[in-house]
Amino acid sequence: MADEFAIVEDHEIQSATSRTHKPLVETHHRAVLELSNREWRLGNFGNALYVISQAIPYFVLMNVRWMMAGSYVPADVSRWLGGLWPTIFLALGILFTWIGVGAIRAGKPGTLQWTFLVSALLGVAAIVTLFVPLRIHSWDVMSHFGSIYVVCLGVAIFYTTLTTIVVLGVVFRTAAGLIGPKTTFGPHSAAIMWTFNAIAWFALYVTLDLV
Amino acid sequence: MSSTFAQPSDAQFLRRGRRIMPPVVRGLLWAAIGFFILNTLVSEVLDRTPFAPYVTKLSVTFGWAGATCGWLLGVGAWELVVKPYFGYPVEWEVPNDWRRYFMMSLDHKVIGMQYMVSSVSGFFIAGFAAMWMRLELMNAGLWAFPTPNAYLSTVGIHGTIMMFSFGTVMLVGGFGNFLIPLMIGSNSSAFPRVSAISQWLLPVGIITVALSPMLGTWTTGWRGYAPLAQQDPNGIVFYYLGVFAMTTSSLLVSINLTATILFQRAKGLTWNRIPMYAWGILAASLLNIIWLPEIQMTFVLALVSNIVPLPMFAQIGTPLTYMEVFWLFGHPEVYIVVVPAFALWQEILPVMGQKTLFARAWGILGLVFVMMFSGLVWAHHMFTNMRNDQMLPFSFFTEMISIPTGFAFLVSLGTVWKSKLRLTTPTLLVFMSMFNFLIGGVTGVMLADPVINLQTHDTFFVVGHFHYTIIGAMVFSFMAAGYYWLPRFSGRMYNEALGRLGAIWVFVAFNGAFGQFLLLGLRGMNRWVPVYPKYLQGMNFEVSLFAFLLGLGFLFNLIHIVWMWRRGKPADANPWHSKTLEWQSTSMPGETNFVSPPKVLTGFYDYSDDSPVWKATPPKEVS
Repeated sequence: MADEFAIVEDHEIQSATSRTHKPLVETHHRAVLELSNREWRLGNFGNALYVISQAIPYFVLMNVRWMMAGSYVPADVSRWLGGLWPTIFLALGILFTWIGVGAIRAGKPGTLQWTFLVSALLGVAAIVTLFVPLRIHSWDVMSHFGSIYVVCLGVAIFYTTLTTIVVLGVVFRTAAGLIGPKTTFGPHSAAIMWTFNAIAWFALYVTLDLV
Repeated sequence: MSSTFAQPSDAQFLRRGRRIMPPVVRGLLWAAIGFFILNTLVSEVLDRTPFAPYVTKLSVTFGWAGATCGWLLGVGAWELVVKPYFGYPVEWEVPNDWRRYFMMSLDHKVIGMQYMVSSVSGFFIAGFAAMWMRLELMNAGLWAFPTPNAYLSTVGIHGTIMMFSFGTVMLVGGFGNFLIPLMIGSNSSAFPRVSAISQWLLPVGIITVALSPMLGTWTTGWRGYAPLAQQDPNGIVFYYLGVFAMTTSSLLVSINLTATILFQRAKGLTWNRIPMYAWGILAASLLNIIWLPEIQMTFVLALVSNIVPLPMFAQIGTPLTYMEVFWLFGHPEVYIVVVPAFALWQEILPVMGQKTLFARAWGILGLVFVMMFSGLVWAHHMFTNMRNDQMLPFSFFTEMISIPTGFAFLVSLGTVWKSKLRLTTPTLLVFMSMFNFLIGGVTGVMLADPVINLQTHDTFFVVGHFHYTIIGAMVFSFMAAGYYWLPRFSGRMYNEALGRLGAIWVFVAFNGAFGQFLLLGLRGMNRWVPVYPKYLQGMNFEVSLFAFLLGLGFLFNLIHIVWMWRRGKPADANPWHSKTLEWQSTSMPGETNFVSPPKVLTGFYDYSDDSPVWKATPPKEVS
């Protein structure tokens, strides 16, 4: 504090800067501790900032597609691959992740594990069904058909991959005994991230393909 | 108050990590491996084309992503983020010496220092590019660069690194990470891992952009205009990737600092007591959170158009589409840079005058309204592409934004009025910053007028204007803050005579150079040209001399500060007699800020009496 410091000599500066006030290892596994209400609110605020910031790229995609009017859906696109299948997989994932969150709050880590594992598998399925049309798309440089659509597929693959890894992390941490009825923030956040990703893709798909 | 996800003091969870090679060395090694694997996979397996080179613009994009992931994991994300996320114990030793600056750390002061060094390095790299450009412009013909494209690439590197690694970053990532938790009475930022990762993305971005000529020249400047970019060689690919790394860095740190300011405040630090600098950081962070993802998606579209290739912004969409989405971000970017600078004026002047901050609420309103208006003025960058009736609303709002900007002047001048001001180096630099921004602001209002805008568009008048706003306001305020907080960072005081000399040096050189930019523009000197009419050579020659003097002045100030950091006279804990909380703790990097959590009793800017503004409290009193 200020009064303790006052004017100091050179050697005191040296000793002040080299004092060891902290342990060698900088942090520990905070996830095993119960969060206070304030810390919960902080964590949720962080989730909200993530969602707000990552919703904006989707708005850009939806916005610029109008400027690229008439050419944003490939003629040969399948309504299922790159469309309804990933939407269904991601929507089912919302259900499973939130069932998992409810289960861990009720003290059932086993249920959390399998519901999140199912969600991760649904994520993989969504990635595959988003990727197939990207792979079989005609990349003829003379054709500009569907360019914005394939970019949207790529964006959806990126975010779904991230979300699937996040969900998988919860499965591993639950297996390691780091998540319990009083430490549910991890699965809660993963479920929010999954839900956001699913809704964002759905909104993108609807505005691109259906509206 | 503790951080949610990292509390560096519970011994029960500590484990000694196994020995590893120095993290930065490991990061470089893993980056090389990541690049090799992904580049090979794409160029030799997935997208194999006979007789194609080993590195193509598609493969280098994936290779860069692999290198960036390898780098982040190598400098510490593997032990500090990835393994713990999958349930493994944290094994990360941070030595309490100089080595902590060369590895991932959760200490906000260490992160702040790392950011400052990365950011200042970017400033001098970009500054070197500027010196080279001015060397070229001393002569009306092409002589210092082999081709016009090489000159234009250097202009782009200069602008990109200055904007995305220094202008956007220094006051937020650097000073913000170090000072904001201290200023609000916290021992940590809210999400230290987020800032830990974001800092290590910054050098990736700077190096990527600086090395972009390895892939070929690019001619678009810091704006990356598509589809112009698609006719360039591959250097533009590294522009998009480098900017992506730097903007991600700023986005992450903005999320962390916003949460920190709102949730980590000490007891008693109510909304009407939040320090001015924290308000400035909050406003800039909110702008970052909204606009950086917007430009990132735009650059992703431009990048895939380039590497796939796709015909966006050309056959589908138009160049105007790109300009619109770029400038939607581009103008708020200016306020991301200068809003924290305005806050610094209001932070430093009441301390130096030991006088209560005048009309504090109006100062905050000014910051907030500048932030809000910044999204309404963007199209004045495109007046040459618009009809009269489209221009007028943007012209109106551009002129209106000068009103909340004026609040920052009024608050500062009202505070100085009849105060017993100490004319120290920080004070001097704040006044210089105000003068420069006044010139930048007045020329900005002129440019908001379509008649003047259309006449001076694409001339050095515009270049002079924005250098007055960016360097004039932000860089001079940054220097003021650097001198002001040097005793807090290092425990040592700078030399006042040398500090004043450094301030006057850069002020004279800056105005000598950029004042003449305005005149050069009015005489017809175009931007983006290494070759120009002979009649402009005399004035360009003079400008270059002042520019070299400016570069040397910045170098002089850097050497002065670094020298004093190590060898300066030991300083009092609170040499300026400030009331803000960062001066009430003497903690250095690696030490706890507040052993007893502080409780704030009054606002920090009332110098009318000597009553204490805070007291230490037992931990139980803090929520």
